[in-house]
Amino acid sequence: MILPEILVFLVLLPFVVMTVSSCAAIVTKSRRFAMWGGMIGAFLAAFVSTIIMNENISVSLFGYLSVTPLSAFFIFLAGSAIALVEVLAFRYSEIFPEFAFVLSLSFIGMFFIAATQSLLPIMIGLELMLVSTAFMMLAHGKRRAEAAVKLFVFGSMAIAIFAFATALVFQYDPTLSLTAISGSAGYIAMVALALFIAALGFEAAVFPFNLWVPDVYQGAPAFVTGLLAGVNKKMAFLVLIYILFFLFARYAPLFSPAIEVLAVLTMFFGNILALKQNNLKRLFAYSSISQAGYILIGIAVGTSAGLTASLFYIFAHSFMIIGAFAIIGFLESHGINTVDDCNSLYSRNAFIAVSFGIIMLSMAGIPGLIGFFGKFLLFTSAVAGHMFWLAIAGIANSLISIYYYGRVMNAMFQRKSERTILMDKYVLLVVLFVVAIIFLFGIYPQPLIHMAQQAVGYIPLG
Amino acid sequence: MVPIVLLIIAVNIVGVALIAFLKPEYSRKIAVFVAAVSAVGVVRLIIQLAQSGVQPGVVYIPYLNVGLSFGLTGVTAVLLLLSEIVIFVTAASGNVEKTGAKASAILMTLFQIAAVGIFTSQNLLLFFVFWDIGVIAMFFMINVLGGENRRAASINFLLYELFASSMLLIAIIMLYVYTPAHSLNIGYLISATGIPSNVELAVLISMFLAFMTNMAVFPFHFWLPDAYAEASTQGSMLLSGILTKFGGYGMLLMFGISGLAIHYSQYIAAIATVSVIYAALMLIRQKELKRAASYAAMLEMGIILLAIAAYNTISINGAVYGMFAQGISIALAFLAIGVIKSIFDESNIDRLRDVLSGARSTAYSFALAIFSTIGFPLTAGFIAELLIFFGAVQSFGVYGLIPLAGVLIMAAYFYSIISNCLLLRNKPTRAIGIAAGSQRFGFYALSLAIVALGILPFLLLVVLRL
Repeated sequence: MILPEILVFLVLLPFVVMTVSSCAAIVTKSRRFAMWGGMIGAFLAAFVSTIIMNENISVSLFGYLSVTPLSAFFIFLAGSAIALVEVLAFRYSEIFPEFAFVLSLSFIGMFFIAATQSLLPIMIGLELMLVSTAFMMLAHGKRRAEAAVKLFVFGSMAIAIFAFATALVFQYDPTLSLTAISGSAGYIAMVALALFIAALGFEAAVFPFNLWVPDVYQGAPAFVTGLLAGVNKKMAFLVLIYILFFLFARYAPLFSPAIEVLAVLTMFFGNILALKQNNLKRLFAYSSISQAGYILIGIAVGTSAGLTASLFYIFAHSFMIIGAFAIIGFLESHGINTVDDCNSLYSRNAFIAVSFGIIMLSMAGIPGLIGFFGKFLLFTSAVAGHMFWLAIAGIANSLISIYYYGRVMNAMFQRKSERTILMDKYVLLVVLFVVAIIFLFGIYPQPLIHMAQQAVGYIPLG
Repeated sequence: MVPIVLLIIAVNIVGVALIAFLKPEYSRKIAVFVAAVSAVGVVRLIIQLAQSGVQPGVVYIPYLNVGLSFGLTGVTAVLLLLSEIVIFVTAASGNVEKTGAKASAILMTLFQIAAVGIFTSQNLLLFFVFWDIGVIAMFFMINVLGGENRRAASINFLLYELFASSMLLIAIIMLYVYTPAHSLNIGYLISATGIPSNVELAVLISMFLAFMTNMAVFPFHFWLPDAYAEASTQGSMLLSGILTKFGGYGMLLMFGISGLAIHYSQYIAAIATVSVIYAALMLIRQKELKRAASYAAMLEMGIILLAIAAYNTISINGAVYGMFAQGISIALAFLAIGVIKSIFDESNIDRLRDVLSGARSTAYSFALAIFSTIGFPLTAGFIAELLIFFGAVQSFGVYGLIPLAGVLIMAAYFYSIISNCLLLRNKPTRAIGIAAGSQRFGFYALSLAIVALGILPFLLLVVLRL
């Protein structure tokens, strides 16, 4: 048993390590130092959060923040995902020490969101994430300016809406804490709820608010896109969970149908537009939109089983999309940008083709891979929560998604030997890690389900 | 029973890894070795079944109440035996097209995992997992190793098969949510009560759609001709020999799980009859040997569906016997067609002449496969059709005999193929190769099985009654 005081220290240590090491690296211009500092910090964060989840305890920090298993789940996710992004950035970024510093700021923002007790840290966290992600995009080549500006404008707008909604809630609870506002709150609370959903819809790329996604994903360098899709979006889902199940817990009958509709529309929107994409990045941008729809299924159901499924799928998709964008970035650096360019990839580099195939099959929900159990849990919770049509829509969408993943696979496994592509060891490391996670939890999902279940235990449900 | 199944699966996984990392020269040897080890394991399983019965499994995913439970019944023992025979022969007879040795060995071994898993798992979720592994392995088998139009054919196959598995998934989720114990254990589901009747109907419909798509029964068969025709020889053998039997076994399970199914058996039989007649009419328009054989496979699956719908002791025995007989005979037919194609570089019925003097063993095997498919006495197919139509008449009266018309049409067309392509001596097609020893081994093994089961049916019925 570890003393709480030590845990407080341990929880904060990774961020200190990351920030200080990257600052030092900027001064000394040492890429390796920044890399090791960032990796140690990220793994430390993941390690501490496993301890917290394992012991099932919560650690309070200065009265404002508190690390519960729910936060630990997301810190674990963010930490391990950031380690992967760090490896990729080390390979592809020319200004890695600066990148590592900004990444550590972003990680601090994620920590604020994960450990929050009230609405204010959420806003700080969202701002930190937004500004640092926009910087990361901007810093890598001039062509990225459009994407960065788009992200910044849309993100700022979302945060502005979020702030406005916060102001509306202020009158019910001046402390802005994440406790349920009273049942007699009236229509202003409803407006606030709608604004919150809209703001987080922007952040999480939910249907009517997701038009920025394809352009930004396409314009950003692939490892930043991986971060954006794999972590930033997932933190937005956590905020959504805070808003809906902590703040507006008594409004469940009101928001549940709305989220249900959004889930269905998001799934269909992403999948149908993905059908005709030829650019790999845009294809996966639309695919990740539809995956956001799946995650919403569990939130719409709103039972403990549903949220467990959502957390499971958030974890699964986070790694799958980072792996996918790691591969896409690697392919991009070899001049492969579209589905047609993927022709005979298998004979050019078998490892990349096979792992890309595995990641796509996992996203499509093929058993034996992590995506299947995520979807199975989601659909089961939907049927158990009497939302039969939600499950049907989800299954129909899995079927649609097979078509475009199948197109890519079809192109990859053609027998035409061209010049081979040499493997890059950093990309290899990241992809191997992702594939290992996909198989590990795809074959034996119980530990991850257990983790998600414990995290959901800290959400006040009915 | 659990350790042996897991051991077989582990051996296969090790085999896949070895094939992937070693040179292509070793691929086939490893695949054959792994198939042989698995076959020994399966025989051991069947002996164990004869001595004891289904044993409880170990905990796997407690959250979903899913255990790793494996077991066999007489029916699954027969189907498992079938898949081991077909996979072993497929692996041993080698890649007729001589391309992609590594890929085909890996996919075959993966497919073996699926087959062993499906026929032994005692839990519907595991059944589903293995089902999809099989489908994906088959997709790549067509996509990577297939013929000219493999891209379209494989995507078509994948969409149909995943439609089937989506339907199956819906059924599984509904069963999981609405059974009182929230269990997917097959033994429990067969005896479970207390499922609301509308849910049971929905489960029945979605399961039926899933399995009929997999069996390629009439309105859902459109994946079949392309998939069979475009797949490599090994792919066609596995597709026709094993993959469609997943659906057949599923149908049997469906009748076991859903008590409602028996009320609709007449409609199911009607669908099966339509499918048989349709397949026969399509068959006689085919000019390409492989396509003709694929419609024959579809026709046979229709007959098997008829037998399952009749659902009495004789017809169930007939259905399982039929799946076995059809599996080995159609696999032999596809092997022979593949070899004919490689020897004569020709598979058009109008142009192929005098196969008998160009490739004697191939011609005899093809003829035997055809005889067994149309139910000629002294072949395995005869016993199967005898049992099936006895059973069908018992349940549906003379209407059960309508599909015989389809069989007759098929028989007539195949006799003409035999007399034209195999025997006709004017303008013989020139042979540009000979059948390899490994392919001849495949011919002998499958022919032996067909004849043995035609003369000594009790060999299989003993296993079936376990």
